[in-house]
Amino acid sequence: MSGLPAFLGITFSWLFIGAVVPFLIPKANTNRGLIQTCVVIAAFCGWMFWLIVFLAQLNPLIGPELNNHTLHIMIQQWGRRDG
Amino acid sequence: MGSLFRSEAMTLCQLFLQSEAAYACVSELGELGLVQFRDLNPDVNIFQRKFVNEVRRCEEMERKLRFVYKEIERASIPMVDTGDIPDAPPPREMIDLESTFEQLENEMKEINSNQEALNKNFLELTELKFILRKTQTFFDEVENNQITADQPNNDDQQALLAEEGKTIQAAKRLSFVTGVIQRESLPGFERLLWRACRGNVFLRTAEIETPLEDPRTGDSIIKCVFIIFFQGEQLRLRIKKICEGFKATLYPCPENAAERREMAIGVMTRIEDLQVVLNQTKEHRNTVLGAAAKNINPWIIKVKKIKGIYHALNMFNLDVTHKCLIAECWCAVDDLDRIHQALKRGSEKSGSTVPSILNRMETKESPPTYNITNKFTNGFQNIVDAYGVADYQEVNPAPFAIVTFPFLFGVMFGDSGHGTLMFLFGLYLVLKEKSIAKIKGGEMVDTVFGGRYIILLMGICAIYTGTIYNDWFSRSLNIFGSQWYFSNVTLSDEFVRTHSDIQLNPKTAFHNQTPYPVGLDPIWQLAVNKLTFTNSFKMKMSVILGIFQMSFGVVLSLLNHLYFKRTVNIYCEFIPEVIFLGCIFGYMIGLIFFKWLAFTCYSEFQPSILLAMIDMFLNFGATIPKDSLLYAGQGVLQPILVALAVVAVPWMLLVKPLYLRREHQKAMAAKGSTVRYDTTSETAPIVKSEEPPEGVEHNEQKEEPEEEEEFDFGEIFVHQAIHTIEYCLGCISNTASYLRLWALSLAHAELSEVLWVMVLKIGFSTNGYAGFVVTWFMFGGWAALTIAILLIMEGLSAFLHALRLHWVEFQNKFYDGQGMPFQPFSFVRIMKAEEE
Amino acid sequence: MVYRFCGPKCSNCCFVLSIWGIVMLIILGIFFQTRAVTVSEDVDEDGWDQTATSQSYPKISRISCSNDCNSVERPSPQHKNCYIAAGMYGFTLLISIWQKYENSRAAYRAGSTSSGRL
Repeated sequence: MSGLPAFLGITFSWLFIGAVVPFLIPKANTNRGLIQTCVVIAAFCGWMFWLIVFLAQLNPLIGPELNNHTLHIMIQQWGRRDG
Repeated sequence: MGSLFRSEAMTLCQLFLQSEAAYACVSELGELGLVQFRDLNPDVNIFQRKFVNEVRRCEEMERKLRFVYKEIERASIPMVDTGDIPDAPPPREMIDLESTFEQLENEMKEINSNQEALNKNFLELTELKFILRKTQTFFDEVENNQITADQPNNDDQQALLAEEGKTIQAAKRLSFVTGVIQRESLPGFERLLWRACRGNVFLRTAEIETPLEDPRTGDSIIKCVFIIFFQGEQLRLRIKKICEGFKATLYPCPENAAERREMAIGVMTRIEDLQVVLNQTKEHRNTVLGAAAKNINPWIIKVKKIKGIYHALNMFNLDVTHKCLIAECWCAVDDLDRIHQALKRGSEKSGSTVPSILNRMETKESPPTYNITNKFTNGFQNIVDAYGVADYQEVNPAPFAIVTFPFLFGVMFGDSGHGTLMFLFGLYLVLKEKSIAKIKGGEMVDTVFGGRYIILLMGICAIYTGTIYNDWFSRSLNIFGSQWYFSNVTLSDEFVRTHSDIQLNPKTAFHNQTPYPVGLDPIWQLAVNKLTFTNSFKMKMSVILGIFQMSFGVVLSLLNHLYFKRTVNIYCEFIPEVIFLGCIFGYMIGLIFFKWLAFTCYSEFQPSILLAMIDMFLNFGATIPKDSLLYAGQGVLQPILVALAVVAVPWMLLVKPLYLRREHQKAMAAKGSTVRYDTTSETAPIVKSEEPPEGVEHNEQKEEPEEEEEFDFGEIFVHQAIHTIEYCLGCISNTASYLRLWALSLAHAELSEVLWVMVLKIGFSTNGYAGFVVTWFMFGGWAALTIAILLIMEGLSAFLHALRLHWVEFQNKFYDGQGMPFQPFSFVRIMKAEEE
Repeated sequence: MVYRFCGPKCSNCCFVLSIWGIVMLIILGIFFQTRAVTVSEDVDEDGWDQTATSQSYPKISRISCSNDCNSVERPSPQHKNCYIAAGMYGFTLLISIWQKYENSRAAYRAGSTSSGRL
């Protein structure tokens, strides 16, 4: 399993919002330019914020430290994997 | 882009209004609310202007209306407010209105004085009635005592009683005074009476149970009846003086019982008669006020409009022939057609044959800034305007703030639970805006209501950032399944049993390149070392977001330079600014992204970015040791970047002033040579520039400052130096300032965690039957604290920090904010201002 | 009039709090019932000590329990408490709705009398 599908999926959905949606706003709307600006900026901000968190976890250098109580519940709930 | 990007194109216009049409035209313009009149007689005193008389008459009418309004309010008659706003009446109607109000006021005054007299009369009669009734008891006591005194008695006590009876018997022969006094002043009255008469008077009092009404103010007052027995004329005078001093009213009371009874009957009949008259007066008063209440609101609006029109007319100039008024006004170029039409309507209404003329004028003055906003954008425009109104046609930060402001707020307030609450609150305000707008709350309510769309967007952004932070009331939701796993080999039961606080190793518990798809992995919320991880990434996030926003601000400054055709600024300011920002800070975020992508737990070394940035400057050009090398070629690229950044500083500082000086010298040389041709005298140009020929008169352009460009190299240089220092230091300090994003989001997350653990958890960890009661109770407390501390307090603090980041860190890259707001002459504005 | 013991502000406040309480406590109840890791820190640690292993923990049906599936189920009162507390908020919700109704009726009555004076 790789993080690529998640990366592409979310990137393309933000790309759709940022690059396609602005053209779907009806031309008759007097505030079209304003709405377009807002949508593009919103898409960029949203994508960038997600990307930062995504990349920060891409190659973790440290792992979470868990106390036994929590660890136990986690093992109970999420199970173990081989290897 | 939309209209909000730059303020509307404005033009200065000259208006020629026929004297008879001026009023109607200005009235139409006031309804339209699209022009801002300039005061053409700033030197003329307010009392010497042309229409001062009319303004004064309006003020007189307003005074009368206020009086009637207060009377209506006092009579608690509901005022009809249909909400429709009448047009400004034609000037001839003003006389009608004046006479109506005059009549109304006089009538009201007459009724009031009549009523006051009647009330006073009524009060006196009632007081007399009570005196007769209360004193009757005193006299009855005396007679009873006489009877007891006549009976034979053995007891000492009886004797004492008899003694008392005798004194009262004696009192009967004494003279007496009766009257009424306010209850509050009774003790003082009693004390003074005792002292002044040396105890030689005998005072009896009785309270009147029913409160009386003050005829002047209508307040209810409680009074006491008193009767004073005394002996001698001197004492009488003294007592009367004391009574006067205490504002006690004295009433005659016959000594004879039969006379008293007769008097009481007379008083009763008179009271009844008076009551009938009083009721009639009241009814009359109510009908008059009721009729006024139906019209009072339209009247108030009409008078306000008339007054506004004459105020505007006072700003106009009278032309030489006295046949027309000349006005100057600012208006948007796009609105000219509508203004023309309004003027046409005005002329038609007044029946004037000569049309009004609107001329566009050329001016070197900077026009006012006019941004057309709607109810959605208004709140954001207000945020920007609170810092400073944009220069004319400067890039307006408001359209960008619509997204970036709630976004930065969300970064600091990231919690999907709190965000949902804020979103629902904003949604409620937006959906119910029509009914809430009618409620007249305090300033606080108006502020919150005015920012309802901001609150709504802030809520949405907080939900998004909260989802990414994976914080839901400080708890993480495991929606996609944590990507950390527990291996059978390394985390066997045996291992778990024998170790405590186990730290998972990314090598054995995580597959690289497979992070949690949306947001932070939920395992971190439960980790002991959660802060180590989140602090590191939130710090980097703040810097990245900050540098993006600052670069965006620099790009917007380019749009300003292009629009105003300030080519010099592009080459001498914008380009070095971009180089400086990109070479240091752009490079830094490049390194951050690079490190995230290229370095894993399997890497041999994990060099620090911070140290790399420090070494880049301190160990300029030195070879980088292997263990702190981020990438091959770092040792070559970094010195180049530093050199570029360093070069950008003098570029910013020196090139523009020097260039301007050369241009100026060139221009002077060209000018000088042409002048020299004409005059052949070398001193002539200097004389010409310093002293204008006397023949030229300053007429209409007097108030416009003469655009004489004085070239002062020193000033330009100092200005440029300040700009350079501000920018270069600003880049560093502003980047640091963006760390508040990290600090506040950390504070918010910790605070909500503490609240959960300290309050809500108590409910969950209570066992037995009390458990659900404690849960129920603790949830209530937790909810209240969540709203008070996390939503209101933390929300306010995040709001203020987002505000600061926009005002200072973002806007100082491109925004001047020295403009003048456009304040059109509009009846709606006048009425709003009056309400406040 | 007699039955009105909460003003408009108070009843609205209770109304909002009750809805929030119901929604949130039911969600939390589900978390506790399914032993969601989200709320693992809020579960009492009494039953857990270093020597005991997973046996002492209640088993969850959908997780394959490799060691011992016949472990004794410990009662976990949290989710029941949450549901009962949610029910109590349901009760306060009803009261606040009733009070809101009474308030609106009182306001209507006051409005009609004042207009009747016209």
